[in-house]
Amino acid sequence: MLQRKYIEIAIGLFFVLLAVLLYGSADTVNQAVSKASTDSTSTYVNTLAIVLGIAASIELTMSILSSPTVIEFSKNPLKFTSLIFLLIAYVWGMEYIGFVLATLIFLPATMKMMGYESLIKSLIISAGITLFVYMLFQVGFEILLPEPTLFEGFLS
Amino acid sequence: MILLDALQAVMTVDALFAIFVGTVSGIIIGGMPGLTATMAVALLIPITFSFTPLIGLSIMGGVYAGAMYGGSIPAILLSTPGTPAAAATAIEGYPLTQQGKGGLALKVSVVASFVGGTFSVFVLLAIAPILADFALKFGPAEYFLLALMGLTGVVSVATGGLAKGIISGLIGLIIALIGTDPMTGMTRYDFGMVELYEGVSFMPALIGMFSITQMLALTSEKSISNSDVDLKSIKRDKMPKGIWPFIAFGTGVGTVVGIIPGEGATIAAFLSYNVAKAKSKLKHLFGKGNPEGIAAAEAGNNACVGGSLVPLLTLGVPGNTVSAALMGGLMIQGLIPGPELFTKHAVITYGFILSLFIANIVFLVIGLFFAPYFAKIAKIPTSILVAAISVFAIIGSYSINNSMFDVWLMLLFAFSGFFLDKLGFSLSAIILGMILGPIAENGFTQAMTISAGDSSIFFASTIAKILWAITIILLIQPLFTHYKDRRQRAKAMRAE
Repeated sequence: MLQRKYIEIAIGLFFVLLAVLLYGSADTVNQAVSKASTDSTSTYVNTLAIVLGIAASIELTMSILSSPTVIEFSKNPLKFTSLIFLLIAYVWGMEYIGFVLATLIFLPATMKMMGYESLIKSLIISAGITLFVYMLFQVGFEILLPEPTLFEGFLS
Repeated sequence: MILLDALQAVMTVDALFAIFVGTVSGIIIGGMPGLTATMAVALLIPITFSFTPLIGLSIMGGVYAGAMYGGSIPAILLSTPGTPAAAATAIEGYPLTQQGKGGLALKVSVVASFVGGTFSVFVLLAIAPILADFALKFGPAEYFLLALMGLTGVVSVATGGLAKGIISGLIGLIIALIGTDPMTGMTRYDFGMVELYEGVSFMPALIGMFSITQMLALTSEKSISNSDVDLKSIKRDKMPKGIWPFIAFGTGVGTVVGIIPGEGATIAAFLSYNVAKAKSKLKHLFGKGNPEGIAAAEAGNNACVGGSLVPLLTLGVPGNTVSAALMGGLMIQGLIPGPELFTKHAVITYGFILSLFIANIVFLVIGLFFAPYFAKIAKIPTSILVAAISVFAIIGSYSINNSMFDVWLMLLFAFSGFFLDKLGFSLSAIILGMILGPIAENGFTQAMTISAGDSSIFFASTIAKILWAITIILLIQPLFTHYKDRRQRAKAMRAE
């Protein structure tokens, strides 16, 4: 359980800082080119920074003045964090073991984590989904899906 | 002549099949609580990219129309609205199902959806070309104000409050700054990453914020619906007498609400429902199963489809997230929303509009004969749904540019979007900020260059003054509501 007030204060401070950095950056970003062509861009960036600064300051003040309440990001934190971990692992793994193998691991693992009971059924469904996505993108649309790179060193 | 050419283009086997597949997919996705029309269109863009523009747009249009209707099926039969817009339908639909009148509720729902959807497409067909012609009078200052108005519309209805809504819109506008400066050609805020030279692609952001965030939210649910459908108990009923004025009213409200930036199907449905409740002679039946409520709500939310496409196709300003996703679909096909759509690409544009008529007919037929079977979709276990949609979201993000960087970007938007959403920030405003950012920046910088830094250019023309007036009204509205709520709360506290 997290305190909403303190998270909102941290977020408010982050946006105030972002506004300050953005305001400061407007001129430095465009120093390399002529003044006439960059003035309007700088004004635009500065306007965004000023409005963000004002809105973030209002939000920050409201957060400081608010009474503390609890914020619940998920009713099932274990499943929630597991899905985040699995998604990151899937994308990271895909770069090394390729789309097919990574998907064949990700799908049953996610289904199991989400509470799907039958292992055999989950493997069949996973194979079906992987085949469908492969046929649709790689064969149908000729989009080259990520291929395994992990074993390249052994093969060459 | 152009309309005939467009009709010819739509009446091919390929196009009709595309509309059919799109509409059925839309009904399925709309019927799955937790999945939205925005998510469906966003996930379809990488797939439709490989098709001809008309086929791709017909699929996406079919999905939009189908999803708007599809949400009502589980709302009526399972008391589980498939889309937020179908929540009003559930209030009247499920009690009717419990009384053994589920068939009647489904019939009223599909007929009202059809009338609302079809009328709004007629309005789109009639006024879009005129408005597009009018858009030729817009200069850079007016385009900047138009983008500002579009963003203000979404910000004003943000549920987390006006300040958070404004910050959300600004996050989008700031993300849109990343990449090459349109005035100088210099790269900026790219952190030295080659992948960011052309800016942050909004498709991974859209897929991340509207697909993966939904999957993260679904981790809390074992099954989306706990109710079950008894297909044998659903009988065929006749349309009740006196229902048509409520359908007509919902249709009018939905079309107008759809055109206004920021307002959407949920607002249209509840607005129509509440007025129907006030006007009905059968007020006592509301909440206990009144078909009039279903008629008004369903006509209202489906009439938003055509209405929301008016500002998108004519001015290039998406009014809600589904039309923002559709804008992505248009742009990926090389079609820039605005007057050119009705001149240079007229056959495709009119073909797309005509395809929406066909999509309405498709869901009418499906709804009249097969609606109860679609309610079974809501029973798909979340375990399968979350795993499968995650794969589609990841591969969809990858396939747009064949880039793993886009996939990481999508995950970044998904995770940060989820937390921002929980804290009350508006994901719709972020994505619209990203889309409208280049329009706003180009308009602003060009206008300032033309006027040699004189900001009175933004107030010079009549169009500019009207756009300012609408923007201010859109901003004042939530402030007024907030003030009224506070006064009412204070009054209630004093009374206690």
